[in-house]
Amino acid sequence: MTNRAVSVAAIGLFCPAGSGREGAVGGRKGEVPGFDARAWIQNRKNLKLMSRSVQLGVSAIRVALGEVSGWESVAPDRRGMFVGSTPLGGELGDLIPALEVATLPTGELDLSRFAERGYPLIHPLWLVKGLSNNVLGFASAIHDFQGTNSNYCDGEASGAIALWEGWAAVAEGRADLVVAGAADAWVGLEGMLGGLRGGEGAAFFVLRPAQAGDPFVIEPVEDGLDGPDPEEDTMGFLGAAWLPVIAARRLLRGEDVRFRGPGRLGLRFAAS
Amino acid sequence: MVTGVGVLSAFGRGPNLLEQGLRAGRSALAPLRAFPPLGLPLQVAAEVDSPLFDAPDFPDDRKASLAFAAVDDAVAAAGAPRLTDAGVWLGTGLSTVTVRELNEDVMPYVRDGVLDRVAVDADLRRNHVAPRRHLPERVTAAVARRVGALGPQSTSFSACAAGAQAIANAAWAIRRGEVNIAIAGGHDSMIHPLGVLSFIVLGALSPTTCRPFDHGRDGFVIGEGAAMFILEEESAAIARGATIWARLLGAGNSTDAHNATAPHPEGAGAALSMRRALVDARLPASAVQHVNAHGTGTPLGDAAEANAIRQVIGAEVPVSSIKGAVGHCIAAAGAVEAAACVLAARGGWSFGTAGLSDPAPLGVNARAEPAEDAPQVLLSNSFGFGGQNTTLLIGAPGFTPS
Amino acid sequence: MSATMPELDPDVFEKVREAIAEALGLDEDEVVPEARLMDDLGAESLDFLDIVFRIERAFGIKVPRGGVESQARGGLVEGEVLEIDGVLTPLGRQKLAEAMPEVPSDDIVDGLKVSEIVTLFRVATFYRIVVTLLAEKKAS
Repeated sequence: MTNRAVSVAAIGLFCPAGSGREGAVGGRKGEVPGFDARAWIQNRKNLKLMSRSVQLGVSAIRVALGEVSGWESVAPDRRGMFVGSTPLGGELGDLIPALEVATLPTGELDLSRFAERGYPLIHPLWLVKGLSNNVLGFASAIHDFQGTNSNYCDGEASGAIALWEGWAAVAEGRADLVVAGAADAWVGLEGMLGGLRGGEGAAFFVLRPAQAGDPFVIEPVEDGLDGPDPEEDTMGFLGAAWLPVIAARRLLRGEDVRFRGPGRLGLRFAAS
Repeated sequence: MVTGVGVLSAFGRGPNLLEQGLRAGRSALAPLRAFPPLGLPLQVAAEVDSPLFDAPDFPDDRKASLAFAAVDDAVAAAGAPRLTDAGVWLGTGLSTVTVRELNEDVMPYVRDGVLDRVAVDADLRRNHVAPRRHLPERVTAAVARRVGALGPQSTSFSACAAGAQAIANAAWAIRRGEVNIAIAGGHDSMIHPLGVLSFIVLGALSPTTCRPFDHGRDGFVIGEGAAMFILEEESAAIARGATIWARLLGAGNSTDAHNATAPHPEGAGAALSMRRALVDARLPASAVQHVNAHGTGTPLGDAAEANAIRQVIGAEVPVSSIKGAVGHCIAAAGAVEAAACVLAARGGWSFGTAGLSDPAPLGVNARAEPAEDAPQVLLSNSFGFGGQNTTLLIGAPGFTPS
Repeated sequence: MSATMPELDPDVFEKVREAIAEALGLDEDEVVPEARLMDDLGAESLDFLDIVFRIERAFGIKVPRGGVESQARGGLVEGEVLEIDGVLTPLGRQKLAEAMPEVPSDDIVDGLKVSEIVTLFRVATFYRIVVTLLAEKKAS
């Protein structure tokens, strides 16, 4: 099988150090500074159903596509999307009213009370709001992507897997334009409960068959893989998003990055 | 090639029980046992009645227990092949945070109805708490360790399409030579109070039973299960003398790109997924002899899917859904139903649609009864909430495209 | 025949408007009594669940299972054949028009299905449902 050469047409980045090129340098823990999802997501009904990580992911995808002129000429069924994410279920904090009415004075949770009195206090869309594949669901609807796709929940490996599979889809000719990357947010309740100093971020890459003028190129690599270290940028725990975020930062600073995919092979991203 | 299958469903543990139940046209839906009905508006569920062991690293985690049981069975069924270089592709669903865990992990930090973040911050060393405990990739990694597989791993999460998507990903990896052997499948259980309640408030569950393609359909019945396949590259399977259960002929996927919360009424994304599977398998639509529909029994979902099936496959090919027999296994559905297709292809029969008695005029040949009709090629659909669609094409062991 | 909007209690209407605006991500001034939930305000079936949830919480009422459609129609009377195979009979359409004065009768077309009643919903329909349930709650 002859693989096509693949380039990166654009990168969308949000991380605790900032957004885009600003976000490529420096490091601090915590939230993406000044992030307002409404700037990127017009449909407020959709926004209502997006948890923080989904907002970051959908926004980063919009930023990335916004920098690729003419991408719409690719047919919708040839546009693919690969996302790394973490499914934490619906926002646990949203369940507090339901849990409260179900808690006996002793502090024990009473299941019958939960079902009877808690039930009317659980928002009907609670389950929907929590789905990590909402990044894919919403972004594909917004930008009319109908092609091959996958959403990976492999913890800290998710981002590398999404980038790898996105590259493979273009290289093998299963898609002519791919958005690949990851989004995650651990600054909220779940991050605290998880015992982590939380960070958050999203980085998405627009991949396509290599075009002159595209800023970065990708090549498959085999041995001597020395990928980035999750600790290297000290931005707090980024969960599924750490690899794409660090890779994006390096590239935007003019550095290379290489990392392993799900198996023994890897990819090297570099300036073209 | 499918060289081994392990499956747990409401019919019990093992492919034989699933085959016997479906082939006889029975339904395994039964009154809820996992917890008291609590006055909730549901009558039945599709629970796995088999004893499951609690893996030490996964206390109280039914999803994990189902996965381990299924993979043990699949490996045994395949004749315990060498799995050192195998890849593992699993599809799974939301973290199984039990109400007890919520009580222990969230409630202590709630003061006056609000989360006390200062209190939480002061106690950050607890790495065993619920959300981290149930992260899906822990099970995938544990399955790989369990069988000694050192190849690539990934965990798909695409709601109700996840199990099928994992199988598709594994098949494509084998085809491009990334691995010669893979464990692929899905596992899920949302039969716990929070899971069930979250579907009830969404209006997705039928208060009575699941009736796919029926006039009276009003939602699905919650199920649970796991199915794991040993998939092998053809020449490698033949070389080791493996028994071929069925052929995985191809797979396709798509996104609806319509609306993340409702299916496309014409089933456009679904149709695309089916067409791509046929292209992937290099088969014409006329090769399909039976369709396993996603068929959840929701008013909108069945209608949209029927439109898609009619467009791509036609109005004559028999269509059925087993969700009236084994419930909706959520992320495991695509895998459990693929297992049913494998058994049908191998055994020369096809399943019907338990729960269907009064077919709605949806323009497809929705069939209630099973049949001994030796379908050579079955098409299986799984559509996830959020618009991700996956289609698998499964062939009889002796099937060769002409 | 044109529609008749109910006379609006401003406090009640304000809360209904807020619930709908929040559920649909709209500005409150877009939520006018005549506005059609689906065609004008972009509501979909899941949004109806959200609106009902917010209304129940705002007013301390419970919309009974069976959904908003039966509430809107004012319930069924024993012996009346209001629908056949999911399609409204002429009597069914007449009763619906009486029960939903905020809907122009031209919208209640021949062949209208029960499942399509939600497409007729106006903002005023939710207002009317709330008023009815508040009155029932007070009476009990």
